[in-house]
Amino acid sequence: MTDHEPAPSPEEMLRLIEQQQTAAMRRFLPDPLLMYVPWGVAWFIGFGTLFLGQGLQGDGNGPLPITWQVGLAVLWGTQIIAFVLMIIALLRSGGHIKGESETRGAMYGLAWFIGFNAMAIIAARFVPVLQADMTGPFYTALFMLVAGLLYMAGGAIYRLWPQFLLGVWVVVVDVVGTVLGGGWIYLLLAVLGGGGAVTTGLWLRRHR
Amino acid sequence: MNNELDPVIHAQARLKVVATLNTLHAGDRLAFPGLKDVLGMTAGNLSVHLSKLEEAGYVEITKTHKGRTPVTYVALTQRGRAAFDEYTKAIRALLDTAGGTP
Repeated sequence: MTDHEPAPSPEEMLRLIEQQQTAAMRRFLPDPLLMYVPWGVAWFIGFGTLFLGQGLQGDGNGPLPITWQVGLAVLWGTQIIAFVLMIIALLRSGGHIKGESETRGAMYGLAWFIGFNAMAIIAARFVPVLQADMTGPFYTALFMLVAGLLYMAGGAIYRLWPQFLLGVWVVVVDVVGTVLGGGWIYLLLAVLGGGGAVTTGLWLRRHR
Repeated sequence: MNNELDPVIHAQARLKVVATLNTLHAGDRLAFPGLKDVLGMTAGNLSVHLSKLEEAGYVEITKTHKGRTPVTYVALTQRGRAAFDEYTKAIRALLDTAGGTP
């Protein structure tokens, strides 16, 4: 039946191909808006709260009377929300594709899990000998280094330049914040790190 | 000029099938229901087109079981991918020549 429909013009065929491929990508790839934007917002709010409590000196005398415990709780709370939204995006897109991509995704997910756990164990060994005001920046710097490296790796695995560049950006911001010292790392990660993740999500969504 | 175009792919429904499968990475397969949804075709109609594509050696159909329910996966073969590449090249070439002579 469909075989006997009149063959459309080359323009129409080309448009058909493009429309169909866009539709397929949207259906089978996770929504970048949910993959990146919630993390950017979490970093903006979480690191922002830490900065407001700690101040540029990082000595706890920031513009607002917020303890580091509260700041850390806000950071973790918002990051857990971001994690849940990311999982929702992955579940919504997944399930239809079997094969190489599944293995690749599982390995990549495992890399995040192992990376963060290893980082936490290693950091915990060194934290007792650090000055008290260095503990927060130390954990933060390591945490975001692991995240940045894994974004780069993800960009390489999925051949996704924006994701790779986000990784580079996060690592650069992380290094600059650490070198400037004090509470700079919180300020820079909140504004530039969070802003970078939001921009990446919006860009990928617009161009998908 | 149209006789240069691959007749297996040069039909809207099958072109959509091949274009969709071409977005998968090599080594991946797509579940039949997922393909059906994204194409907006009925299962029967899609099956007919898939058999034609399979006869041409463009797609590979794998039937397995998930527990007790049978699941069908579809993937483009290397030949299918090459045919799709050729087809898009031919279409673009046609457009280029058409653009030159109005």
